[in-house]
Amino acid sequence: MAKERTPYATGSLLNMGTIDAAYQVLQSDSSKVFMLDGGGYTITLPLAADLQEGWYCKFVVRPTNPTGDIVITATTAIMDITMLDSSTGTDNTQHSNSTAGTAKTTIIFHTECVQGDYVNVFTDGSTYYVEAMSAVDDAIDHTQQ
Amino acid sequence: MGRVYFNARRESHALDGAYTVKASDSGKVFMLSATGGTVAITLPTLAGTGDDKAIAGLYYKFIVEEDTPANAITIGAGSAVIDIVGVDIAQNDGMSSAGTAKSNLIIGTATKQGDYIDMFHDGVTWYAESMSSTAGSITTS
Repeated sequence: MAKERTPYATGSLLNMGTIDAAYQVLQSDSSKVFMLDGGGYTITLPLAADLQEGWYCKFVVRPTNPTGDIVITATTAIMDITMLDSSTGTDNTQHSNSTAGTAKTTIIFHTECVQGDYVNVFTDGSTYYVEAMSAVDDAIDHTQQ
Repeated sequence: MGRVYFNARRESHALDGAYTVKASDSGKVFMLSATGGTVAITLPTLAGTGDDKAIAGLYYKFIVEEDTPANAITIGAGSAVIDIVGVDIAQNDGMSSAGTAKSNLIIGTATKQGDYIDMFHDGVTWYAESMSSTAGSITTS
């Protein structure tokens, strides 16, 4: 039997969305790229009890210097974060805000963030795996400043 | 709620010369070489029409295929509308635009096979993320 070939994704578009106020992320938001405007609000991820394996989304800061912290919360400490940021700053360590094995409840875009800073979120059904990158030292963190 | 599984492959597209990226190329992975001279890659723009127009949701990946390319490769947006965040092996984040959008991303001759740039468009701006295994080899202008 001829080997079945899966189709190319060519010509496909990312599923885009915008958030500029408090938002409860939905299971049906999986695969979305959320552009974050404004600032000073909280984004709540689906609860641990509701996680579906394979769910994922991306959050990207649109304005340089959001008007307030943008908090992404999982409600419970189930976020494992690996991240890099600028080496030019207070601690000169690019990975200092990675969770390194101790899961956290929140990830925070602080007002120092610049346009393009991002967080990718993926879940295996029990934990959120987060990768983040920022051009500003400590602008993305898992605790309040 | 039912689940939808995406089993599509991403199409790879080898480039070793000038190329104008099309909207219909969205989703492609461009494999880059520059054996015959400098390479200029032109992105879709908001002013473009039809398949040359930038729209929300377009996305591409550019991967260096030729280890230490013979010539530089430039990805151009035509104006300063690229916001990039990236790092390299030396913890150098100099390619990050840090709030000041750029017109061009330049993949230099010191880049290594596998160094990459991911890009997408939100309807206004190009967003890029990059990683490189050599210091200072991906730059902007």
